[in-house]
Amino acid sequence: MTVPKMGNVSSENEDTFFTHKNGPITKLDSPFICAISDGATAATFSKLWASILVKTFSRAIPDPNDFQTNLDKCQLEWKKHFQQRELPWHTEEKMKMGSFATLLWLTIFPHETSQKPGGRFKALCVGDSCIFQVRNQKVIFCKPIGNSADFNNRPALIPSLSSLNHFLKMDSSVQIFSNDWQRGDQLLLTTDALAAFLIRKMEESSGLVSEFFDLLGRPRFEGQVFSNWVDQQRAENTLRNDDTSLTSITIQ
Amino acid sequence: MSYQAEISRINPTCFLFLVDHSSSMSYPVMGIPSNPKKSVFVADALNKTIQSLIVSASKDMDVRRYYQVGVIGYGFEVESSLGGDLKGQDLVWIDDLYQHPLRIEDRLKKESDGAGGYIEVTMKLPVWVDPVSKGQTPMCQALEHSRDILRAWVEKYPNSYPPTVINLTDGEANDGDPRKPAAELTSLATNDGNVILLTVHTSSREFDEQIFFPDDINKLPDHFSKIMFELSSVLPPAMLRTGSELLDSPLNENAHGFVYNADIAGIVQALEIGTRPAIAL
Repeated sequence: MTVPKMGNVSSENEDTFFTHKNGPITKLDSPFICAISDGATAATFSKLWASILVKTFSRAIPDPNDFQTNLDKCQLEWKKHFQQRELPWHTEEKMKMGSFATLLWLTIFPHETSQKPGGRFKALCVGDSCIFQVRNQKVIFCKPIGNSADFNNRPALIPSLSSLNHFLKMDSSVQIFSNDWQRGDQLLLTTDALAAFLIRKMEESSGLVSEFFDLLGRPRFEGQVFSNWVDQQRAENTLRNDDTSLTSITIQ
Repeated sequence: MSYQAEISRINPTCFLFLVDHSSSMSYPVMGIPSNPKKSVFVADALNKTIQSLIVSASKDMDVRRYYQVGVIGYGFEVESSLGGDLKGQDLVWIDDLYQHPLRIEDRLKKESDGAGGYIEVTMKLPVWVDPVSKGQTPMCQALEHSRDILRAWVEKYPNSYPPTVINLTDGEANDGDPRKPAAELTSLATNDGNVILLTVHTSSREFDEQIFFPDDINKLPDHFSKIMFELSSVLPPAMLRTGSELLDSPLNENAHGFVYNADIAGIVQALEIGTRPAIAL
């Protein structure tokens, strides 16, 4: 579910989610892989760049050792996309500055043994898109940001041009996390506006968090309901006006 | 919190450049004969600044209406310096500026050849304003005209990042004390803050000391420079940060948006600092 920034149309929404799995997953018999990305507002063709990232990275299980190989593929695809394409001069100039996006690349592994009630998940994160693990309407795991004060306008971002790779410091910008899951757990993948909202409200012990999880648990919580909720929070200035996305995965 | 509003199509901002067209602008920058004329260099720097503003508003194949831009020349007359299809317009949307340059010139630029050397490449430089140096320095009139333009603007966009006015001059106003119209101009405000007035004074002599964003009136050498200090706004926090970064030297909180005796690099840096809230969009 995703809602563009107020004032923008849907086609200008630069948040992207992707999984190579199609349709409902009835049995987790192989790792489920997906990714979300938030294209930088200030850059150009950020939606395209975010889309290249999620499609390329979600082909395999997150592994920091494969990060550079995947990034090389993405940057090559970006380059190919604009080869022999005539662009207005302002676009050509802006393209020299590159495009940028966050990445949250997740794999949920199936049960390791039949005796174990759950399994593990693993996430690789660059930037401020977040994963929340919710159990019995309580957040038990939240990465890569755990404090609302840590959201700022300078998150780590993946560049579309290899000449800008030095901006991405592998040691600190690329983070990997994992945890156990149990049946009934929900994994929420969010871009920064919603992540900041949830973390801030958790810090304030606000009832809005449980209200939100209540809403999320309802059978018909989908696009329009989410969009209305986002509009309401923006009107009350509790949610920053930015593209706002949520992917909710419930493990039954 | 002031000067924090996000610049968007709903809440655009505005840049208004005031350009001294007095006769003395025909002298070379810093008085060095091999330097370009002040009017030529200022027009060139302004064209590059407009180009940068267009690039910063560029999104995919379009230029988004993030700002309105005006260029008011003051010398023989006080009027918009934009020509061609934009003639007579005080404020123009950034995408209209993109669509309507006066002309596009070919300029040679040195670029790295990747092997330690340089090659000359031809760059396209759109031109929106031409150099003018004719007449006196009616700075008060220019500030009053800006006040009239921006009074309507702040009413129309009450939630926007406030307009930035950058006054490029080489001399003293000869139509009165500019502090009064400047105060009226900077008293205009949106909910995000007051209109920001920056003054870039271009140098006329080779060994003049360049003073960047002074924070103390006593550091200025004469009556004229003290007046320019007084009428220029205190830099808002984001400009202070940008200025400190670009100048590689921390600026104090009370730093005023005033550059005295700016040389060639100084003019370019001042324009970049003044327009950076947009560039960093």
